[in-house]
Amino acid sequence: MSDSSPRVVITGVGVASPLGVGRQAFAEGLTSGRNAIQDLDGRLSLVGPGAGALVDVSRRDYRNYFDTRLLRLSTMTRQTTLGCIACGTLLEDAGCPPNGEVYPDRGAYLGSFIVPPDFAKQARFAALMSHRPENQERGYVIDDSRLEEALKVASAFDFLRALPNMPSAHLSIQAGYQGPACTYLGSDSSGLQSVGMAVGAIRSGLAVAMIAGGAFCPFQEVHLAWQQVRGLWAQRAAESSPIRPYGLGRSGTLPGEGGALFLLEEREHALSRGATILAEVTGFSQRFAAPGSDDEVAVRADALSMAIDQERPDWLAPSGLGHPDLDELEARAYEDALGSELSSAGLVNAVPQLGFSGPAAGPMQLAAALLVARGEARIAGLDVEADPDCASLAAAGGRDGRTGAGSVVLASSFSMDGVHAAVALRVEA
Amino acid sequence: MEQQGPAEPRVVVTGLGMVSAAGPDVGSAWQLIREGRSALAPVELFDSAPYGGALSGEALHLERERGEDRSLQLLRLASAELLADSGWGEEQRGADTGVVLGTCQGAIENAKGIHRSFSSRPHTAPTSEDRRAFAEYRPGFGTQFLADRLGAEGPRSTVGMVCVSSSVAIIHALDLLRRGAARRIVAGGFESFSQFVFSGFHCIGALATGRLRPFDEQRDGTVLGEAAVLLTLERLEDAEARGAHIYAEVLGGGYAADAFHMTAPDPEGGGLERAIRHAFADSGLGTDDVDYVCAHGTGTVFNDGMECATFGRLFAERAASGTMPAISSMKSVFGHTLGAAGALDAVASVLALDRGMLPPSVALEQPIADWDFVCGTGRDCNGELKIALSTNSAFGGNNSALLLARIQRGAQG
Repeated sequence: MSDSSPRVVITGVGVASPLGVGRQAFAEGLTSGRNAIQDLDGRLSLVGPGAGALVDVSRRDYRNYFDTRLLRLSTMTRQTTLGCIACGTLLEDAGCPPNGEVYPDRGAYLGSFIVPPDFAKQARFAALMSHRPENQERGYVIDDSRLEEALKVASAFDFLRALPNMPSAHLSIQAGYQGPACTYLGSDSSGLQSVGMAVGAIRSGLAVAMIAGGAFCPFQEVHLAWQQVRGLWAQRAAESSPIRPYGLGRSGTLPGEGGALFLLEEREHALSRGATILAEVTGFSQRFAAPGSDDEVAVRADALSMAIDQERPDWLAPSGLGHPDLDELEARAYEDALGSELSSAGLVNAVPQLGFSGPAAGPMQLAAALLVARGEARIAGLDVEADPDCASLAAAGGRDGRTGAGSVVLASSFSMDGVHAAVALRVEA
Repeated sequence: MEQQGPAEPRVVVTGLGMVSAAGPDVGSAWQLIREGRSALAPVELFDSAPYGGALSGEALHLERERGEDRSLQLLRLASAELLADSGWGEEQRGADTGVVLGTCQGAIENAKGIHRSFSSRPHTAPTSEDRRAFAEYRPGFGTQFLADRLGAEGPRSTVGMVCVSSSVAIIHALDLLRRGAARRIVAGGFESFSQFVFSGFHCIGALATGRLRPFDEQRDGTVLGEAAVLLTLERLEDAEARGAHIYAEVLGGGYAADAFHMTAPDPEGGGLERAIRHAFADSGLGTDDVDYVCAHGTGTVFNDGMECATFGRLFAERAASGTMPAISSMKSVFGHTLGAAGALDAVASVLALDRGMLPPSVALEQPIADWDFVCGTGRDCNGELKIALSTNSAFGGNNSALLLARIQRGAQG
């Protein structure tokens, strides 16, 4: 990042979270220490841990923010809905709600994931097309002769909902943002990647303002089952939240849905429209290490060092999933990257309250940390017996960092896929 | 956006890999392009009779590895060609090498298997046998697969922007190289032919009833294909230092949204025009500089009409003076390869620049405008082809533009 590049600031935070919708409700939810994890009683998923955190919104709530003439509800998955509602709160928060105007110099990047949009319907479709082979107890074969019948239950909307660019396309249409639009896929770091790439788009002159962040709904069978196979989900026990980041006996995380978005702007653009500047984005990096490779910790540490660039962080917002192995790798990476600088930083980890929202988790953690660093929210300390192998981050969980103008936030997403992204912010008055 | 002149460091294309309906390599693809032949044929992957029959651009020559998803087969084959062509070796492994790929549906055939598995065992947890299918189903798996194969430990991302996925991936790669986030990047896209996507296009009435005829008055839809298309991008100075063959220079790119409608393009092509103007500003070029447009040209009424509206406005002065750039679409040769389409068009443009021959549209008999549409067979341009513009558009109103240039041979040392 050269000194001549435009400075990029955050002028709005939009959240659709299990703790509340909108910046203020989210801050209040964090401060209350409320745990949004609930027993799903078989609702929403037929596989997976059976518990998680839901956002209390429906597709109709979308109308609170956008002109209903623009509704394209039939092409919205749950994650698109969450992204759009987060976007609605974002634009209100940033003081620039949709007004029917279009903006060729503003764009939208979103981290999300391809997931079959309506798996139950897909399964019915597949069942209609298939039959069990003779003399076999299990398994089906696709029977093309039934295709015509099966097609009757499919609609164009099923296909359109499954298109991966629908989340960012909806955002651009609803906000009237005609600049660059992109949906990043592929890893749990996609949300923070989107933030970093949006900063790059502004610095390279592609746009003066960008919506960026992530939105995701994990309550779909394929995703839940996949993460179950990977051993991500916690063993459920009697305690109120089985998500125990950096604690002894931690067994994994639980799914949560949500969307967290930021309005990023060229500093001069923000000032010229009289926007309130919440923070400046001072660093971004992304690195990769093959999962399980020897240099995984070093590469993660490198991503953190590149983003923080020798500043002293006041607040850390790591992934903090509560996963036995990933937490340990994360703690070692933070120790290697920050060393003694860790001793004064506080930890923001909302995952025990919110669950893990995949590509939206990084932006959600970043939003929480920003609000805590600004003094708008407080976060409960970790209620765990620290694992000695994660001692540095566990200790940060019992500490408050500096708040107010000038305080520095370092957030990171360390994906199981080996994609690691980190973003650094400096809070403004 | 003001024009700024060529950005530093200069970025060039030094290797290509491509598997498509034309064959397992770039050579077979170029041969078809040059001869003006179409690789489209009746659907083989499934029985298309209930759909009324249709053509497809399937890579029928694929040799399947046991259990491997079709899209990953495509990537594996294309990456082998890419590595051989680029001359990358051990020195190119590590943190300075990145991978940026685009895809629409990733390993969609695996998804079908997952659906089948759930249909047979409803309400039960998956078995360990499903592990591979789940892992490969992730859209980012293709990027991971390729990065592991290349030993690339630098930036990697997966762009999911439907038909502009891989052109945006190339633009992102260009940006990462210019910003110094990597010294070399494999960029491109992949997409396998699948019944799910075919059914979707069928549902929305976007499939051609017969031949795919981009920019023809009689066009009535598109034909779906499959491909993996990869390019190695690196700094000019690095390419020259290692004596690599330089196919073309990537001068700039741009992308923009219509913010208009979920499925229909802005009929005036406002988003496409903005994308092209961004690319001009990024490269320091203007409309007079373009010799050839490799257009999206899906063969649908709406897309081709939108593109013509855009080109007519953008190149109005040249149209008036009868000096429109040459235009063609690769869809009639390979089919619409969705997430790979942008990279496929970029490679066609790169080959055109490198070999001095304009690629033709096939089955173009009644052009919808009185412009210089290239049809028939490849047109030798006697060294006059210097700048190519490659454009793509997608559902959701996304548009992209890439500007590529023939490299001055003197620049290679």
